[in-house]
Amino acid sequence: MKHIPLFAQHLSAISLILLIPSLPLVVDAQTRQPTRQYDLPTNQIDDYRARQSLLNREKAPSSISGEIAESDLGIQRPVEEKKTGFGYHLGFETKLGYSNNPASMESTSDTFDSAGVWENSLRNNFLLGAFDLGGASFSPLASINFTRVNHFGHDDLDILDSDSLSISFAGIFQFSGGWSLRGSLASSFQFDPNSGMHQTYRETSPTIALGKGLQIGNVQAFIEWSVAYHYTNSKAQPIEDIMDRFETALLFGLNMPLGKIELSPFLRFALSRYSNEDTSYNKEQTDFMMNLGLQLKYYFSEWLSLKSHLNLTTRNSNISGKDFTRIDPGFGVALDAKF
Amino acid sequence: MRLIFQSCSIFYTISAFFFWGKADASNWAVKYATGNTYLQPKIHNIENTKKLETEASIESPFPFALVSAKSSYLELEQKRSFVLVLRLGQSTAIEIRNPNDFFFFQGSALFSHRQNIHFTLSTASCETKIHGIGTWLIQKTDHQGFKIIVLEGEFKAGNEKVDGVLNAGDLAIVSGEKGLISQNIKIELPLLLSSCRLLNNFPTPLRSKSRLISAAQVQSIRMKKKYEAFVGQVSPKNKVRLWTVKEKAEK
Repeated sequence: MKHIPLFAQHLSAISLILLIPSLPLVVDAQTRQPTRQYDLPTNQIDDYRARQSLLNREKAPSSISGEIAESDLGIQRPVEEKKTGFGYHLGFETKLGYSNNPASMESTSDTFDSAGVWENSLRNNFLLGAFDLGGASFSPLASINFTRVNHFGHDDLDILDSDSLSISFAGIFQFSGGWSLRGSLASSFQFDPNSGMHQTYRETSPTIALGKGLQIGNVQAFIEWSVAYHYTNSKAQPIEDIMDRFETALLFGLNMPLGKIELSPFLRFALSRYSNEDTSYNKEQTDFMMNLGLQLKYYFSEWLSLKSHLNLTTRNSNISGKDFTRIDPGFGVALDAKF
Repeated sequence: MRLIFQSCSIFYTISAFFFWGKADASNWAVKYATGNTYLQPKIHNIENTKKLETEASIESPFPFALVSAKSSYLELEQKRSFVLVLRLGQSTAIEIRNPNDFFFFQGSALFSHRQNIHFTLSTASCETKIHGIGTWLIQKTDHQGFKIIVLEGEFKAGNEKVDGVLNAGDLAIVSGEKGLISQNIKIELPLLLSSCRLLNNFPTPLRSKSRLISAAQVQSIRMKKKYEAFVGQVSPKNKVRLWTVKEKAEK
């Protein structure tokens, strides 16, 4: 070092000082390592599908011929009904995938330019009843979900690993014409599995959503507009509630059954406005996110299915260095049991 | 005094005729009529069979019959302090004996009302009573009984000694002179609503449509199991015939 001219040393130090703020990484202030971006939404589509599954949103058979169909009274099929309307749905899923941008960064470094991702999730969804309001129905739901995400491919990728626990309560009103209104309160907690399950992030989100479902032949289409506010607490940030934000999102999706296969594309747009000013840029962060995904599901039986997915996620932010694009393909196995 | 007595008599006769005339007559509006549907009064010197047309109104003293031919449907609306909707299916003949007293010769009908009404339903060898609020279907069986399906609301059906409570999705058979009601079975409402001609073969939806849908939604959420069978006609022993996908079975 002593052989390098003093001017060059100063120049290197100044360059480093200037370079660090522009690095497109979410860097932990203490460890100087990229960290998981807690404010990036995950599993919204899975949550939506789980709710729909619990509410048994099924279609009627499209055609039946013969003596039975000719009655003015219609087709009368005997069924068995639960008296209380209480239901429980247990789901376990393991997925193996790849990400071209596991840290969701604007520019990836050699370490974080790709990763294998292994995700395991356990879902418990409780239907607490179904009530006929004479013109609308009401269903309260509760859910407790646990997800573990592990990254592999490079030793440094384990800083992106996380365990998350989410608890939510929702009340869903369903109206004629396929309309629905959902109010929910959810809390999620994220832990670092590599440091003794230390809690790194907490988020509480009240949400209101308006949805519409419709049946086009065998295809079920849905659209949902939601408004939420996220109250956050992030241990990894200098200001713990820096990620408090208002979010509005629009979700479109289709479910297309083709025999034992189900094809489910979806598209989600979200606009987030952070409440606290980013002190580095002296302005509030505003993000526009898009998630485009496709899921292919093959049913071995009612409770066992094979899934493959392909997701594209992009973020455009008014804060420099926050934009990113990532592609996540993968496949997995799911077990579902309804009681 | 004699003049006063005569005036009162005339006044009483006129008012009695007016009042009794109202109680002995039925006033319906024809909301929809397709094919060949008729009103057949029974009293002498009254105009004979009248073909019914949409948007017509009918007023006829009791009893009178409503008839719909094959591939014909009829919807009537009666405005009391509330609205009573009556829809007739094809090949149906019903005699209305009193405001809430219906004699079925054959066929099927739908009733929809938002107030509690006590109906008397009868055939040649069966009479039963049903009362409640909601929307319900009724069909005369081949063996002089009734098949009753409640789409929404709550009803009690049977005779004075034994009655059954019917809620949304319940199907029951009523048979015999005493109008005994069978144990009810649950019917899949979403499928029924999508395939019922008494609901879908009419241009305007029922006022209770949103209630029908919410009842179907709640049943769909509570659904535990669907049987691979469909209800057909009623056997001579007044038991419901079930058609499975591959074979016919009596149950």
